[in-house]
Amino acid sequence: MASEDTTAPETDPQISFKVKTSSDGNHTITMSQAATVLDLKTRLSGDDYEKVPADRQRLIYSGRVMKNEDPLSKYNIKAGNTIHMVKSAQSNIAQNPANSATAAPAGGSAPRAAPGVPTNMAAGTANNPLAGLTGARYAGHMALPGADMFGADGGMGAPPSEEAFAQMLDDPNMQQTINEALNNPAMIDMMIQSTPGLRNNPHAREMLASPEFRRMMTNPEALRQAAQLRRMMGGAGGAGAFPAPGVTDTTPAGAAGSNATPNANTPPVNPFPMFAGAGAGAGAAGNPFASLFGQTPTQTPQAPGSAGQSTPSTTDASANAANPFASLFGGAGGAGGANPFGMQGMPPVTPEMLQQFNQMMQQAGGGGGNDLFGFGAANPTSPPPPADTRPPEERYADQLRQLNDMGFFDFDRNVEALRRSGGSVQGAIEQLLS
Amino acid sequence: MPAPAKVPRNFRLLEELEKGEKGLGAEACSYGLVEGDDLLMSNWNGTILGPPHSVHENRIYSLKMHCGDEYPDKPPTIQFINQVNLPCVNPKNGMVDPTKLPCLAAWTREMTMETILIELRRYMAHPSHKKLPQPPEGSTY
Repeated sequence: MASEDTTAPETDPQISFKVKTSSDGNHTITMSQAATVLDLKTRLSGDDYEKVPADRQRLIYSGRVMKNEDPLSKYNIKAGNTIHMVKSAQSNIAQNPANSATAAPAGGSAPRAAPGVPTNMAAGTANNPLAGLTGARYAGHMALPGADMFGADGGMGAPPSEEAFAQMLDDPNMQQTINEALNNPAMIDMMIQSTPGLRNNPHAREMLASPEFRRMMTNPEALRQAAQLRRMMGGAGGAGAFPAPGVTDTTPAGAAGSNATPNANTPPVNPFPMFAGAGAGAGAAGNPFASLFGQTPTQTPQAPGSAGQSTPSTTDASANAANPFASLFGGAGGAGGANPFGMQGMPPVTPEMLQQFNQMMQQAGGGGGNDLFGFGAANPTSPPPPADTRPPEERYADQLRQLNDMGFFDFDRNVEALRRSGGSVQGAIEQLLS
Repeated sequence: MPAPAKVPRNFRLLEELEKGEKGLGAEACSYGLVEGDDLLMSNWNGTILGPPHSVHENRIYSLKMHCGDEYPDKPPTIQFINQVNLPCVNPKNGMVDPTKLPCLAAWTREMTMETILIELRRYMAHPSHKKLPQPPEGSTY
């Protein structure tokens, strides 16, 4: 070390600066400008100074973390200025192996648990992959999201926002867990069995196993985009105006927000409706990973035949039954408006499905007329959604058919009358006769 | 009573620069110019040492600060370089939302960049933020 100072050629400018440590140490050091940060750290690690190994030192000058390979000259350190030295904790380094060991079997983690356990309990368990072990909710897989995922009240309140989910998916541990789960044939069996839409689809297994699908499910960006799309479609009503496909409660956003309906499980946005649909009841809807966690549905999902039903208390499952792919589209698949089934390795989607989906999107986008899934039955008394931009022949298709049946053939007059009556056939007839 | 003289932008920034470079301010925060020869002193680097007893402990967060022409009448814009999960930080680009950080929302010209860094650090240590799951250390926007 000392030789460095003596052998420095005269052409090599020297600088002297102070190094202030987190433990109130203060040193004045003179070094060559050409010396690297690592040289400085090595010198600081010496017995004369901090006795902290170079790899545990972090140096900050003027708002910048100094990189080992950079020469000191890069930082324009002026004479007499101060570099801060921070010691990085040993536990911090040990945390990384603990993180990467998430996939290791529970028994194997015992010997390495010690370094991973936070020395400071107040540091919280949010990032601690070992915390999930205590729950053992899904045997064989670790690093499940903790109870905090469901909010401070353990899931009794509003379910996590799409942003919270996206953030959760940002966590590589979570992605790994989902991948692990999807790698497990038993898991896929269970998901297929508990989702009527998938049960009737011979390609379900293939689809769930496809890497594209997984990427879609685990990509937080896709989720954010989907949420954005949904917000766009929901208009002023926000997320509530566009019901998650897994939810048939289409009460207008205001009422839904106040949980006034018997079926109060109206999540603002449910990014994993497919999973939610598999479970049952409010708890499951709030917990999109319900089926991932291996909960057995407490209620048998309704048969696909119930698709036309539109009572608010219809279970989630019937909504899925209405369109087996609706949940996929509405969830991660909604991202970017692209057709996720156009991707390689995906089974083709039939035109009927697309049509069904489109119809649903239109109805939902229109501000949630009060009959989301009952497209078969006309509801003549329902007022037209305020922001409906569809052409009138489509919007009033049913009413126009009725008027035609009654002998009113003038399309323009019919539309005009329906517009004035707010879509009511009765009112339109009165207008047309007056 | 005459109003106290207003310190002009550049004097004020020079003052802050000296304080930052000499390390006279708070231990846990550091700041300085991005380019030493930036005569307008607009672009700054800052670091925040994660507060103890939180998920941020032992992490160093780097951020960029931009002091516009109207500094210190208007607060600087703050953008995190290291990814951080905080309600006041835009998860896409690391920008600090001035409406969500109290010291930026109620900015007065007596405040300095150091004030912001210290406030951000306190924000991290806030009981409702200190346990938020954080992206892997070292990831950047």
